[in-house]
Amino acid sequence: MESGKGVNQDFNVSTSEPTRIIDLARKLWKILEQEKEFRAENVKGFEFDIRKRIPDTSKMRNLLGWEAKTNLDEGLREVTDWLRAKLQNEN
Amino acid sequence: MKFVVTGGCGFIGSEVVRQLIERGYKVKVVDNLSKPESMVKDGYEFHQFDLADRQKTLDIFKGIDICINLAAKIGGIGYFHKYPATILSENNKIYSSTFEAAAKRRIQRMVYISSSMVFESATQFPSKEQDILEIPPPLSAYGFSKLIGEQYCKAFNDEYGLDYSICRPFNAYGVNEFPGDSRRDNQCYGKRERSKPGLQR
Repeated sequence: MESGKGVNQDFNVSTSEPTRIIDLARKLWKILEQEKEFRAENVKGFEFDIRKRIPDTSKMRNLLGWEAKTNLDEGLREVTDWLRAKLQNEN
Repeated sequence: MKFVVTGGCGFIGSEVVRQLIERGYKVKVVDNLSKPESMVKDGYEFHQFDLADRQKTLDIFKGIDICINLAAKIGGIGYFHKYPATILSENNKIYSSTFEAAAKRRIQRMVYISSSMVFESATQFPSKEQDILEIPPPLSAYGFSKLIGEQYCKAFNDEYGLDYSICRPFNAYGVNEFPGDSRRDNQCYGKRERSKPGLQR
């Protein structure tokens, strides 16, 4: 935005690492230090829904020099810490 | 440089506004505060109204250099499936109102926050920006609506010379967004107060 190189351009904004939902659930289970064994239940999806999203983020990096600074593990840790504190304050 | 951020009290918008203020920019925020956890903070000029109101929107765009356009009807995945007409109809009103105001006021740039949902029908991975020109349009109302916003960018650039930038966040998450069960609740706010259709960000 400030450089002017993004004028009349579109950009995928993301990390480029794909994550499966089941792996995300497992990561969260681990971060939340759940004592029970991890168990997943599949629910029926919608007729029209996105199945898979993996962005190529090279345009953003090459044109603007921008890339994601926080990886998924760090981001999940930050969010779960915040949410835990928030819920403790509410109870 | 003066900014207007539509949906500036939402999850992504509030962070955008925080960073703009941190960099010393003057910021106006327009938000209808329909999200339960919306909060108005200090440091910017705040206006609460529905951006479908063209006259109010035109007034707000006076003296603006850049618009960061985040306002939209949005909710969890369940919301997208339950209120497709609301999403298409209301978002189009917001697009028309904000893009027309931006063109009339001759602002420098419209920064439109789109969504990875425009890649709903993608078959090539990783998906490049130019793939959007080849893949079929999304079947979901939300994905289709976000793609319409991208077309507004191109159309207003062609006809009025309004410069734009399109950002497509992929699965935004972070502090200040409350999780929930979008499959069962239609909204993503867990046990907190549920929003009615018309949620805006």
